[in-house]
Amino acid sequence: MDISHWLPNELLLHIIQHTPKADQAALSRVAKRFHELCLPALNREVELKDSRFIASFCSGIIDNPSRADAVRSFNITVDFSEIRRDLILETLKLMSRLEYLSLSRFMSDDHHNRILLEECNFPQLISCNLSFPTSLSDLTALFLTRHPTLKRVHLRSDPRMVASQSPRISLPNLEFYAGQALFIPRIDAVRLKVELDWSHTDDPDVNKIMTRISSMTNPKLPFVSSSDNHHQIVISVSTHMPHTRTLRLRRSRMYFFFSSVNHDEDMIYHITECLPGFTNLVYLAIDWVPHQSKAENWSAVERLVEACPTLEACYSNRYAWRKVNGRWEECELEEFEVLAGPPNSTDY
Amino acid sequence: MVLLVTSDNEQFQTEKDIVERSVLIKNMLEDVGESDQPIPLPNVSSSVLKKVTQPSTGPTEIDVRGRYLSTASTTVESPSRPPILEQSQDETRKRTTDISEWDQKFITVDQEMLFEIILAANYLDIKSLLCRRWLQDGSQHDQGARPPEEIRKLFNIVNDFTPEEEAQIKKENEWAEDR
Repeated sequence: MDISHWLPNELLLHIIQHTPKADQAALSRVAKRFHELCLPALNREVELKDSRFIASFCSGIIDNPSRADAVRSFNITVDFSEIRRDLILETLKLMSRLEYLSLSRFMSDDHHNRILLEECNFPQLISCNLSFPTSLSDLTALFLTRHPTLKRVHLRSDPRMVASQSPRISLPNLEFYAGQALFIPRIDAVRLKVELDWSHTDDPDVNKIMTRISSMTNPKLPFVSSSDNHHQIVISVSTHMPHTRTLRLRRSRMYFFFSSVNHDEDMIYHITECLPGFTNLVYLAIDWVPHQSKAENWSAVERLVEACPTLEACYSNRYAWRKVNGRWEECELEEFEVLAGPPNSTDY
Repeated sequence: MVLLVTSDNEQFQTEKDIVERSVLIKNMLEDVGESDQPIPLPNVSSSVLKKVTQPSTGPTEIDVRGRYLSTASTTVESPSRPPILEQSQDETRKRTTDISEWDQKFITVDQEMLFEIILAANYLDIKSLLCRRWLQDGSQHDQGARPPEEIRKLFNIVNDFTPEEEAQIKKENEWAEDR
């Protein structure tokens, strides 16, 4: 007897939901009934890792638009230079229930960017990871404004885009922002965790940005920042957010062009000088010089913890120390991460 | 120990922690409290109950997929510890290489038995058993899913696709088969 005659759909669905994607795909080819049952589970979370899958997947959706309703998560990790953008955009327009969108390498030509930003609407969007070019800053702002449901935004952008003086983007549900620091003054949120990128910003108005953040965040949320020179940033954090508990400073992507022993020493010196401004700093992580030995790291950490008695754990370039019964002891990196909270929030 | 009585009136003395993997029985025990009274299972026969409660060294069947799970729509249940399975999730991950003898046997029980086990798992609310990876045969398909033609053969399913339709579906869903 055919299994599908005695097994009710409800049970089959249950089994399918717990089956890995590859099995769901195989099952969908078994018979029409299985195809109908598997497709919603299969399309719920779509990740296209290879450009050769894009055309066939998109055509399947475009030819049967109701299938797009199942898609909650859409993530393309292919290099976009060689793919059919028009097909992807047409497919995206159908995904009215999308909650998570990641097109981090999508942007490259204005025409298609414009279609994405102007014509796509996702009323239930919770999280997006996008890149966009300078010329479309206002369109990007409008896109974000149209999606007040957003909780997490990751924008890779050219800092020059934020020069525009357009109104603030109100995102009442926003909890996490990763991207250019210069974009901060445009965001209106209530409880925001940030991972700021200061690269390529020649002369940022750090105080303006920090004042803005201090009105949107709270001291329990970690402050994470990447830059090739943190001096001014740390001064500003200690002035505007002196109650910050967790501070994570990373090198920017361009850091190796600036890096030198003297530069690193200067940075430690400057940070040590700023630390007394913090009233309740408990966890400090600095991560920019991967070549130093443990002894060199400890000598830097020693100066930092001396300048800031509230510190309980400190991380420096793959080494970590924590205070146990008043004495500083080396600890596992994992231990530090458990204490200070996960190191980066760019995973969704 | 808990006393269970099956539909064919056979009595089973079973360890409490084993039977409690069934949400149904667990709730019953909580409602009734400590008692020597046997618990009647009118929908489960003795042969099926043996299968469902037998200890095993088999691998877990649930693959906890879904890095991203929406809160908004149908939830995929988090895996409860199934009757048969006592492994960590890490072990679950490498499951494909050692789908056990138990699974093989499970899959080779006759159709009627399989049907009854699935119904019993559903009735007893043992989600994980219900979702056992009965679709996979690790020894032959380490790197991927069991091919559709084998699934059809195994479960007597008639292919009602035309070759063109099947090819079309394969193409559309190819992204999901890539590992």
